Amino acid sequence: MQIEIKFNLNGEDVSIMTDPVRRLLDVLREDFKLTGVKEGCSEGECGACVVFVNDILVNSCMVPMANVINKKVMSIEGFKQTKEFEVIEKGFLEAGAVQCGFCTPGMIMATENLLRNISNPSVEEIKEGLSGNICRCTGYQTIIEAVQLTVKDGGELWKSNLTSL
Amino acid sequence: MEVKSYIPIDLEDCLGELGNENYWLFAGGTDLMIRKRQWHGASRKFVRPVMFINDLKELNGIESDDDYIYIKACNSLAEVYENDEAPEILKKAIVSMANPEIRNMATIGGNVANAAKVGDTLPVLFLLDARVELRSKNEKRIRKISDFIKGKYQTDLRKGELLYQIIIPKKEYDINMFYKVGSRQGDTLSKLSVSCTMNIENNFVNDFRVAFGAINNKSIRDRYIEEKLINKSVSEAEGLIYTVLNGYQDLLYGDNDKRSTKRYREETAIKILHKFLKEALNEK
Repeated sequence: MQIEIKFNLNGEDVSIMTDPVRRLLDVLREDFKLTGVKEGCSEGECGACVVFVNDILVNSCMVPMANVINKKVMSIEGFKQTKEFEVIEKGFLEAGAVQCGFCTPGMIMATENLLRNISNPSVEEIKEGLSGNICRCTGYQTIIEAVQLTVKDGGELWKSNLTSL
Repeated sequence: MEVKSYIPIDLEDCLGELGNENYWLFAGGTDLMIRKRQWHGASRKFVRPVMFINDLKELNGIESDDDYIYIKACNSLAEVYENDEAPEILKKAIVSMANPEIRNMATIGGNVANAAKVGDTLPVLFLLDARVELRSKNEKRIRKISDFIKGKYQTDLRKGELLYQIIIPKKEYDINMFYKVGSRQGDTLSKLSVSCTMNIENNFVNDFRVAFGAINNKSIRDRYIEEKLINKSVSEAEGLIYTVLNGYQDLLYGDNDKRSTKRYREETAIKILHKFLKEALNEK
């Protein structure tokens, strides 16, 4: 059953005819060609597909299109336009937190979500905040360091709760 | 095959339509989107029509009065966790579940109505004497959660009904523990869980509760065994620890399955309860 579903994608109002049971992940990758959103485990464990829906971080592999009607969806492509992204990206680059890169979009989105909630997280809080994201290359240590570098270089951004998109 | 989907505009519309067809009720989707998947690229395999209720205003929000907290079914686990009035032991169970992203989507109503053996809120809700309010087009009824859950994936939900809210009596629990055993620290399903609370006043136990999850098909709570310690002095209660443990031992019917063995589940659960009792009774 196809219906018209309207939502806001990365700041732009969009509309699509699709099945309401269809996954947001598939719509983003196939219909909108937003391939920064990755499909890993397909069951909500790896975090490669995470996006913000109304500013809440979710696994797009588990979200049916019916649950995004009239909502704001932000993928890594939208987040890339923000000042926050620049600071997190710098942290990941400096820490060498990227190897194959498959998990990186999800890790960056989860970092943003963590820092929105806790602007200066402890190591334990970083581990908990990124616990929905799996990386098979780095062993996580460099990713934790990337978050710490992000906080050190640009933590003020999150303290003031600014959202620049 | 694409099935009919229905997106109600409000609760009245939802309950009216629920009486017409045998819908799958779809809230956060964290279970159904996985359970109904097929091969890569294929649509979810729903053989019955689907109704999306996640965004209905009437099924979201948490309220309270002097005696109870009322949690609407479509609150996410994260929303319950962040609520100031939600019982601490329930928060402990929630934060042990899945990961932050899934907790942002998964609903407490889904965890209850699914009635999975490993649903971690269930034993805690049994312990808290929670009730569920069920609504249909022409009826509203309230049942104890221990009566509503009938077994693994089995509930007392009738055709045309939905789970409207979970009602939890307000009470302070001085000592509370939710102990979950899984294969890893995060993002794990329970091999077993033990939930316990105890209140001690003037050296007497005035409340004691235990619930075991993920061992039997339905969470275990036994008021008769709990009462063995209630209104006993701490030293009398200490002398009854093995009576209590033996009582629970007889109630555990674990299975061997992909996550654990019957023996591991039963022995570990009793050891965890034993440790709780020793520490709780020695603390005062």
